[in-house]
Amino acid sequence: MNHKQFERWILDDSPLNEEQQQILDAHLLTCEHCQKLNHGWKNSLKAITASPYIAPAAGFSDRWQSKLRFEKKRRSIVRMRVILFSSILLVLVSLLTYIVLSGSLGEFLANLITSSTHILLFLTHGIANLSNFIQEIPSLVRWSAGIFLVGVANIFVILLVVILWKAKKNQEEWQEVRDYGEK
Amino acid sequence: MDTGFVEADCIKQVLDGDDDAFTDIVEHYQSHVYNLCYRMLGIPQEAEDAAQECFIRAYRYIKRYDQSRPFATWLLSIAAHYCIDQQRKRHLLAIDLDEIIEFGIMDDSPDPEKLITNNEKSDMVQKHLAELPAKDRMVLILRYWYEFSENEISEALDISTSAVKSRLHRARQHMAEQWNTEEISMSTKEGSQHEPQAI
Repeated sequence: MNHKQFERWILDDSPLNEEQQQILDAHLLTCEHCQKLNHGWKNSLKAITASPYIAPAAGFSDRWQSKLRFEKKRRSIVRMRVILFSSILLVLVSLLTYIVLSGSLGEFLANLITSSTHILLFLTHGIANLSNFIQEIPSLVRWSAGIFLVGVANIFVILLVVILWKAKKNQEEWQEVRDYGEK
Repeated sequence: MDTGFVEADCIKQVLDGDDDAFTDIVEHYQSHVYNLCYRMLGIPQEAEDAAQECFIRAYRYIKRYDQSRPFATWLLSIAAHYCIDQQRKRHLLAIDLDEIIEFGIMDDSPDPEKLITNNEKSDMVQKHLAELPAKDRMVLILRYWYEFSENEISEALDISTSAVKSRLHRARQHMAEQWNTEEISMSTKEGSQHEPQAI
């Protein structure tokens, strides 16, 4: 019989029938190689089945929960950055497409400068007209409007501070997530 | 087994957006996943990180889980693939085998003598496992620690049943040879300790 067949009988899990077992036993009496293989595998299998099931250190699920929180934050930050980057890319690509389709780059720049000059001129006229209008209205109304505008400006400043603070906090969280990932 | 753990209900709750239900799944399967990672990677800290990552992946991809299959098989297949990837990366970094072997095995057995014997055997098994190629090691772990059938292993690892059989055969042969080599080296050591020293 093929020697490989004996190795298969020794190493396979499937039970042997009576006749196969007798043939194998007879072979094991004469073949040193198969005796060693049989001895090594039987002992190895005993050691494997006696090996304990290793459990993680206590608090595994708590550590998993905190990892999940960090992972969610990290993913939301990454998603925000991807959206921002895609939007910028979309605007740039649209602009480039417009330039290519509308003619030469020089023509586009000339149109851009003309449009900007018109807008600037329009704004200057608008400010001059507004200034004249303010000069003509009574001083009491003028001062009241001034105070109101200062109030609105203050609200804008506070909003700007809040946005900057949030951005800084976001940056810190991102740093924290990166540090956690590097640990 | 945790009392009151109903797998199908937990999975349904997770799919409805309940994160706490997934924590129950983590608590229930933590030992299964950790043990697989430890047997594959051999270093407790790496096993912990790998097990955590496997649960994160399971959480992320739970919508892809086919509920007609056992959840444990799906979860352990995520862990198996992740550990094989980690092994591949580790080969690139070439971690010293001795570093893997020097970690002892935690055992809560109160009998110190039994503890030493069990630890010695476990260390030996772990050492022999670490010497196997990652793919052969994984089939052996799934077969003997998780009692997966050859078909279940082939499903979990996305390989054919004949590939499972040949890997198992190779792994068993390697383990047998390693056992014999270890026995010879231990008996040589004992022999040299009992020899009278020349003055």
